[in-house]
Amino acid sequence: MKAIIRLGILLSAVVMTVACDMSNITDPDDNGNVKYVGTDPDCYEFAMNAAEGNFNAKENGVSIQIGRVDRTNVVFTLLPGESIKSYRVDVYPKAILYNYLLEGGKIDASADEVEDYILELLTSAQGAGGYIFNYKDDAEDFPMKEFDWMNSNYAQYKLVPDCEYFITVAGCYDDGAMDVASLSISHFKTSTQPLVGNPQIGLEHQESYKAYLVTYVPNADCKYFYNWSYLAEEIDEYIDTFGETMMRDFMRCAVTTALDVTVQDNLTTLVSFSEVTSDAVFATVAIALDVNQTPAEHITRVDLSLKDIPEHAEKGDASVAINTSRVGATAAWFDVTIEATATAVYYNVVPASEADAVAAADSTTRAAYASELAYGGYGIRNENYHFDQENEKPDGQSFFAKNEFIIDLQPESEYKVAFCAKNAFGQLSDVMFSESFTTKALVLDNPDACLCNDDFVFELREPSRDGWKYYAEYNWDDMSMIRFQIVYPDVVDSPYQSHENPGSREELLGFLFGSSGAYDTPNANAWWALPSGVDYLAYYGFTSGQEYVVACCAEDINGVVGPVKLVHVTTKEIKPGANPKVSIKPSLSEDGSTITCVFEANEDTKMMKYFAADKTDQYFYTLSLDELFKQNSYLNYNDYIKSWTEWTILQGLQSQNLTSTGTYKVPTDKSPVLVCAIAIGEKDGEDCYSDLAHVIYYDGAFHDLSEYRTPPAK
Amino acid sequence: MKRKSMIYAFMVCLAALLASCEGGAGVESTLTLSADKASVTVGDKVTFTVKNSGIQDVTAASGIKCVQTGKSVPGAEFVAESEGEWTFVAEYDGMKSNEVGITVVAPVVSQFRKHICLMEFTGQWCAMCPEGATTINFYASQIYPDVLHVLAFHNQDEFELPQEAEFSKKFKFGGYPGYVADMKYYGLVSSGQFSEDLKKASSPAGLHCGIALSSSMANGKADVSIKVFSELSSKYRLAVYVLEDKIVAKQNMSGTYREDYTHRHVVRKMVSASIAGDDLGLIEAESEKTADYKITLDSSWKAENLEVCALVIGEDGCVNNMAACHLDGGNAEYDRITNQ
Repeated sequence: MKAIIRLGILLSAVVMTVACDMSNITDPDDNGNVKYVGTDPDCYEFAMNAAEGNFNAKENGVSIQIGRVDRTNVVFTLLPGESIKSYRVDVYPKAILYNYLLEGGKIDASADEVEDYILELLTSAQGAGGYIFNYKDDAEDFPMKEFDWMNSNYAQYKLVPDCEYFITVAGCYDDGAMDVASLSISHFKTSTQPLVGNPQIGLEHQESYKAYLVTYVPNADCKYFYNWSYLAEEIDEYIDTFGETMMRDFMRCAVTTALDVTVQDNLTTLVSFSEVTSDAVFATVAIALDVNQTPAEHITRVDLSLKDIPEHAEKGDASVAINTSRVGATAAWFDVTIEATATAVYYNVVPASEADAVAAADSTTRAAYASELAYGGYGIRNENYHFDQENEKPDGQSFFAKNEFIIDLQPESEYKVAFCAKNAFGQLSDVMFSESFTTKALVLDNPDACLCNDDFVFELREPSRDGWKYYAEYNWDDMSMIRFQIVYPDVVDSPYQSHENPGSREELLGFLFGSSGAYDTPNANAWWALPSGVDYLAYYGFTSGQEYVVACCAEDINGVVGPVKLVHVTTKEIKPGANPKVSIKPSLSEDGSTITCVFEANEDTKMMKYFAADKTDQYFYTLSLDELFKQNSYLNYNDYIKSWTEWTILQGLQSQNLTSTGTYKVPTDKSPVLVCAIAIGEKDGEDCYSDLAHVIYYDGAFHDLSEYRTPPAK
Repeated sequence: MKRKSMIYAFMVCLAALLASCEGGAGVESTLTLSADKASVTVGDKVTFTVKNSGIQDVTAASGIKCVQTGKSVPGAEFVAESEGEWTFVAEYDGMKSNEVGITVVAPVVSQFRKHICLMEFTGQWCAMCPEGATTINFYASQIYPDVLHVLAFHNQDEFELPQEAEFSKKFKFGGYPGYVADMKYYGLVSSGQFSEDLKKASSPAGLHCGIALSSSMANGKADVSIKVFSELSSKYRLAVYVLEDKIVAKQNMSGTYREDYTHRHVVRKMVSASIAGDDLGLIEAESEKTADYKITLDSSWKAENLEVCALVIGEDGCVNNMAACHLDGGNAEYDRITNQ
């Protein structure tokens, strides 16, 4: 029997051996490492001393033992050699690492050059660097540290199914992981499940002059997808070097989350390119995923070019006129006319000397300056712009923007407004400049001369438990700027020490006009004058039952700063009681796209908690709303109230105010939205709770739980 | 290079199979099945791993089944539904693994009520911690009344104790407000996991002891007597803490400090020698052991708000059960379910 069994084993051993994939199995080296050699014939493999699976290092290295690999995670243990005092570790998707190496010009580089580059990545301070562990800070775990990678805080790239990765570890002689001894690299591949169905994603597109719109068309089996858009040349280089499978993996690793095909917004992408010419060719690639996020085998791709700019295209035009009656010490107002040829104007106020230098510079410098304005300046859209698509020319109207302004100017200084206009083809005009204007002197020592003194009103209205509303009223013709800030209690650098010692005018103005902190942040809030002569804003987040003092001053249009006003307000005290109550008043927007809920509690409430959830919420399934609409469900009224109460406490937003408002989107697929609120009071020093208030928005109307489940008898 | 590899691999495979057929020791089967536990109680989970040639984890692609019932084990996780000796085997790519035996024993149905030890990690500087405390208060009063006991450890403030750093290092709950339940489950109070973990901690599965304690105070000292009754023969450790409830002190609330915040269940002192607890040794089944403590109190603590908590820690290092009572004249009898 034994002989027969042996023969059987021999035969099966032969069969098994032949069945093994021999392409990536090589002789183990002296350390017992099976060298990684790659498996895809389409993929260029960089020279490096990586192991397939476990990496056994010598005493000047770090061994890597891979314990478990599944579809979306890897668990591995690092064992530093005796000489190693610290190491840096990271797990890179092969598709991403190879892209770094491609961009770093490492094609045909030697293994040493490739590994030096990987070490640069691991030691990089900007994003791609690895995490450092050392013996000094973690003596207990350092000799054998296990990483449950995706459940740790260290994963910078997520693990996706059927994808290749490299664990890279730089062992170092020092505690600070700067003196590198060696590099250990292990290759592994996540597992996968069989594809469910045949997910496919189609691409439709529409081109313009500086942008194109891609619409994604998934089939029924495609539940998620990834996409990537860039210059076709770059995408070709990547695919030609590493193959289509790597491009598929690159998308899945470079993009944080797969796009859900049921979310309408995900199915279109506007890809815009401001700096390329119309003869550039672009490519959008996409990969379809099934219900388990297993990827299809092949990517989908579309190549396209932007539309040619017609020869008759006119550059946009605009003009700026300074409002000479509204040039103050630190602010100035002007009007902008955007001609029908321009879609928008971009501007900034700059020292006249700078404007003159740019005006005299060559066309390249002026073009660069115009680009900077378009990127970083203020913008005004031509609201009357219209474009005739058939004849490819504008046929709208000009637009007049009155009372544009700029603040934080230096007193007694000369400025110009620098601006440029953009046309429908994305082209910028030459940079243009307004006439110059000179700001007035800032007068701090003659408050009686301030034009605003008679009309300026500054109040702190409607104090609530945690805030109030700032309110200002003035004559627009006289006012330039209002500055105000809380000066009491406990404000750093505030001159207001106490009610008996509020600080002098000089000290308070020094505070209001000064700045502090590492970033030199201005101390005061600064409101510019509005033509309406009225401004207000509610502020929250303050302590209840507390007196606050706000210092405020007006700067008139002549640069004269008036008296410093000190305005007091006391927030309402919270006196919780044993009978808290809360209600929800819901309403639907006119277009039916949003729900607004006003939550109102009584004085016994010390805080309320409220939340809303729809099917996109991570824990929506625990609320069992889908069960609610079924006829025969096991959940009764109390079950729902208990579950919803728990989630309101655990996940709800908290407010100390007696009124709060929440606005929530109505899902496009008409699935339900649940809104709940609970009020918390106090009885004998312990928290007590109101009944849960709730409303369900479904099927175009607001509902109560009692419509679906019978409440218990009271 | 490739031909030599084929022959080498062939020889390795052949040697491995021949050795395993003859019962040779020290050479791995080509396909290896292993389990994370050899013995569990009914309801517990066993996780299997399948490796090819000792290197490649092929668990997800393997089929694992129970030899006795023929049922497959989905997701490589077996939940023990009934007592007995169960054998499992894996198959992958035409290969069959070794067999692995799992012993499933009936769970002890405890006579005691399960109390939950909820350690809260907080700080006066932590702007979101009051919200965490609101959540914890709700669970303590509404969901698990009388059985959920909160021990608040403070970080880097006037109430800080060195044990906070020890727990933080051990459990890595990830931020503040954090929690550790039964010295087993941990995370952030704001996460959805908090509710799930409390459910697990409230389960009587694995509970096999009860605690009774009494305490009296005099002249700045407290005498605490703790009895532990075990329902099966097991080793235990006992961790004891003194807490002060309702301390009014400053707290950062969403960015603004206020001086009149009421801090609940603040751990003032660890009485046992370490967070692992004092060794009670082996308690035989249906037997009881007593431990007595004399505790020196700080005069600044308010006597009427002081509590003592006794945590009984099992062989797995987790809290098996606990009890609490007032430090001044407090008394907690064994909480047997039949008492209700």
